[in-house]
Amino acid sequence: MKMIHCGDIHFDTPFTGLADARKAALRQEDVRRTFGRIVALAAEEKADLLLIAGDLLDGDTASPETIRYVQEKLGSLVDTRVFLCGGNHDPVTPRSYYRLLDWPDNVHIFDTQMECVPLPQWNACIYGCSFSQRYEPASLLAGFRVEDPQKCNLMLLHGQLVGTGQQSQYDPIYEADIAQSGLTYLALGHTHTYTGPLYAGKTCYAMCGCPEGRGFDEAGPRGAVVAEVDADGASLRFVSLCRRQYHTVTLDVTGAAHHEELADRLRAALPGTAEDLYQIVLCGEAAFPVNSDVLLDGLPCFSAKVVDETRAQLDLVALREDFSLRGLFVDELLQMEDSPVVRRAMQYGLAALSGEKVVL
Amino acid sequence: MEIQQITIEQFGKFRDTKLTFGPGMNVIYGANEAGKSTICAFLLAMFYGMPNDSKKKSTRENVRARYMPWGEEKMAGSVAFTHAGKSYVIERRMGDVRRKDKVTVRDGATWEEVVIPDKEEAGRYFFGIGPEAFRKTLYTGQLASVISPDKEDEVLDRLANLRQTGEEDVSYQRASSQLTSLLNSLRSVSGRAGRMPALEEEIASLRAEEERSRSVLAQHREDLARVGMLAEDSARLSAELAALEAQRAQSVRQGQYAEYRRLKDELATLTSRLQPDKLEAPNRKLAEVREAMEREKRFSDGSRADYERACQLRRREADLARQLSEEETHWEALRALEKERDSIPDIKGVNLPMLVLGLLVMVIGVVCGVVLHPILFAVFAVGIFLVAVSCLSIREQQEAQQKRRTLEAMIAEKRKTVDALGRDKLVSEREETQAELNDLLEVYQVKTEQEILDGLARRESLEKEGTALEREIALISEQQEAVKKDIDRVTAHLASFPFTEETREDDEQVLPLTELNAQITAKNQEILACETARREIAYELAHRLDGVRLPAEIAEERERKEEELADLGEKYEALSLALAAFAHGYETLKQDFAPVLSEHVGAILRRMSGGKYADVRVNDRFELCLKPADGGPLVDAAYVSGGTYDMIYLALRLGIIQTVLGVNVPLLVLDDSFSEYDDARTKAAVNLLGEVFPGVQVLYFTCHASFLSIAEGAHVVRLA
Repeated sequence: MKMIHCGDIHFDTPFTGLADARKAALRQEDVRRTFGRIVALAAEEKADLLLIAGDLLDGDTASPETIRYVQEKLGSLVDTRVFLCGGNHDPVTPRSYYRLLDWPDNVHIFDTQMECVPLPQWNACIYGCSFSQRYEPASLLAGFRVEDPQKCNLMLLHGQLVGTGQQSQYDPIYEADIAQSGLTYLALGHTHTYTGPLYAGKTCYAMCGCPEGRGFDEAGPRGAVVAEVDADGASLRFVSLCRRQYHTVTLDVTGAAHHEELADRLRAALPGTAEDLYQIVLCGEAAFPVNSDVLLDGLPCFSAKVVDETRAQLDLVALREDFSLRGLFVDELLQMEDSPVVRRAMQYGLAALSGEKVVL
Repeated sequence: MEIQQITIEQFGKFRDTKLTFGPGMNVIYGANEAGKSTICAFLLAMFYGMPNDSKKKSTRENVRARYMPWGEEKMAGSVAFTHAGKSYVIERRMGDVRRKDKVTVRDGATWEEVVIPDKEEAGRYFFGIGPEAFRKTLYTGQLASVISPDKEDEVLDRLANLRQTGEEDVSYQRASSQLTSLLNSLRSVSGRAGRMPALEEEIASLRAEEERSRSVLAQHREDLARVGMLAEDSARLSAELAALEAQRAQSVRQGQYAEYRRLKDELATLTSRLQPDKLEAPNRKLAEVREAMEREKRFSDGSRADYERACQLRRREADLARQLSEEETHWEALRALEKERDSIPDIKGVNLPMLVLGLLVMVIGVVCGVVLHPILFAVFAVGIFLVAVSCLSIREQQEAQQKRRTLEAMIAEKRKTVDALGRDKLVSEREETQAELNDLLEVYQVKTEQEILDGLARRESLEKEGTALEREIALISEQQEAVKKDIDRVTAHLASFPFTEETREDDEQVLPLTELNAQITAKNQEILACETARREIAYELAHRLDGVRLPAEIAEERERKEEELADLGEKYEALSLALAAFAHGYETLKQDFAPVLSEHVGAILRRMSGGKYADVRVNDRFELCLKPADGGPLVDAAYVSGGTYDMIYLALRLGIIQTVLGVNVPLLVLDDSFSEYDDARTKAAVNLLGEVFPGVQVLYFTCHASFLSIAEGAHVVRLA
């Protein structure tokens, strides 16, 4: 049987690192569209099942509009059964939308106790358990065994993969438990990066990752997993579905005489497309004060921000020898540990002493 | 540098004035008001221009106004000088505002214009310092030469630098204040104003908005839960209502049965009240009465009048009878009277014989009496007696006549009366009256008029009876009609029931209708309340989120602002750090320059005072502290006497010049600086100048002629 395994969509959760309210609104829309693409993928691939491994939304901040959208989309998959489990952000509480609303017939939301839903068509059954609150320090998988090892046994679960003896507030999952479970395929959610197929015992398991990155720490392609599972095992295929990717680019400004040169260097160094988000880290020694706005002007990107880690190319060493106010000032600052604050202080002080207008 | 000549075209009181100077000491001598200050001002103006103090209305302060020649609009002049081996001429024209100024710097030999940086303040180039510094160092004024640091304190800066950097001037004060104001713009001293507090407030308010948004969403979920429960309630209530309705239908039916029975009973009662023969008796009676009335027909309304008439006749008749009887009586009376009259005897009144006798006796008597014997008067008496007796009958006669007369009168009267009565007429009238009366009585077939009245009364009572009977009959008929109608009505009503006596069923007893109705009303109200609540919630669900931003959006804005705040925080820290480093550096420098200055000033002061003061300490505010050579206590320069004060500050000035400019002093301008000194000290000071600043041109302005002799070999310029 074929299934789409996705999770951690995080509807209506804030994006960070966007300098612009408009961009933030667009990113929220991106998430909605990507979800639409997941549903479309399920239809395209004629998937039998769509598994959503938790954190679809945030229970406290989800808007009714989003819920309506999700229900509509899921309801439109007439030939696919949808299974959903609640994660740490969207636990199935008495006041959760999972309980308060009527969901389409083809959608099954797992209860807070391990349940089994038979899939007789494929001689399979699917287990699942939702978070009942924001924290589940006790492992939900502990001691689990399948009822009928002959069947194709699936499980949908949200939790954190931890090593033996480690703890987690978010349903710690131990390899030993997976190995002993007897499951054919364990569809996991919580970690935002696709792990690739992992094995423990005869169980194949994977974290599908989130379909749309949310920050520069989530760089690279994101999407969902198409899994083909039968009683013997599972084969996984990753499909990239994200609208935009995050990239961090390091740009050495040493030797550049003006902004244009830098801009050219930058353009050449961009790894992604004009749809993507960039974080540009400037390093090296700047011969002139680098203005972020000028540098980013006309850059083909969705959004970009500059992190300035350059050093000004001043003959500070010479200056510090000068027994003058300037000299003493430079000397004092150079004695401190280098940091952005110290560098700024140097910049402000020297400008002020030269009688220039200091621009913050 | 050596100023060779100044040409004043017009400035202050001067017109086309040329003054020539030589190297070394130059004494410009003139009385008060001669224009020494004007020349100083002119020099300053030539090299540095004049400030635009248009805001200063006071002429004293507004130098342009002060020196603008009366009636003129411009000032003009030129200065010829040498500098670093070359000769130059500065020409300047000045108007009432700076913008109207024009300055040219030319090569003294070729007269070509030379390009120097900032020719407006050419002095910076040629003297190497700005106008303020010039005023504080190379130019020494007349009045108390207190030096104080100010905002644009070049001197202090230079002191702080200890040597000319050759670069643009650095101003600790200026730099420090720029950074401080930037710092305050980020966060003011009070901590309440500035970009950072503003951002902090915005962040706080966004947090609050986020909280509110979350709680609105939570409320939304609560409402969804409630909606579910209300739906259940609604279904339950509807079922309960249906049950009650069914019970009510039953109750209604039972009520109908009861009603049916009641109506049946009513019908029976009514039917029993139907008595058609009730009218028989009265009708009969009525007929009798009518008959009787017929019989007494003759007694009608007119009868009363007849009765009246009959009575009247009777009375008349009686009256006539009475009159007749009266007449009879009168006739009788008359007869009696006549009879009586006739019975009256004829009485001779007077017994004449007696009378005559009597008279005679009397006369006799008298005569006898007189003639004869008095006793014969008794005969008189007897005669009187006889007369008297004879007259007795007179009275009787009179009485009888009287009586007769009376009777006659009465009789006459009576006759009249009788006649008046007219017996015959009376009789006939009486007969008439009697006849009429009898006729009348006959008509009524009665014997007396009273009977008419009786008959009338009978008739009337019969009438009354008849009317009463009629009324009774009518009433009874009405009643019977009513009963008939009621019977019809009830019959119809009974017919309207969907069942008949035979077809109705009896089912089990339920609660009385009123109670069921009350319960149904209550249930309906519950349902209504439930529906209202549902509607309200539906409305809330639809609208609660209107105008409310989602938490994600608010959080994003907040994070952006927090990032901005962090960035500003870093900048704030950097500014603070820079300011601290400034202050620290400045302190270090001041700690350094003070000794150097002190040393220079000390040396000059030692020379000036002829060794009296050994040492001096100068602080960063140019306050001096003196140490006498003889080991006495330290003297604060502020407390010394006037002359010493001047000396000390002169030393300070010269010391500053030395410290700041080193030996490259271009020029010294002194405005009667030694005026307070005695001759010896003056000489010493002049020599000092020469020693401390060898070869430097000095322009000494004075109004004291004595100076001329002290300053031997000086080039003298006399002002008119």
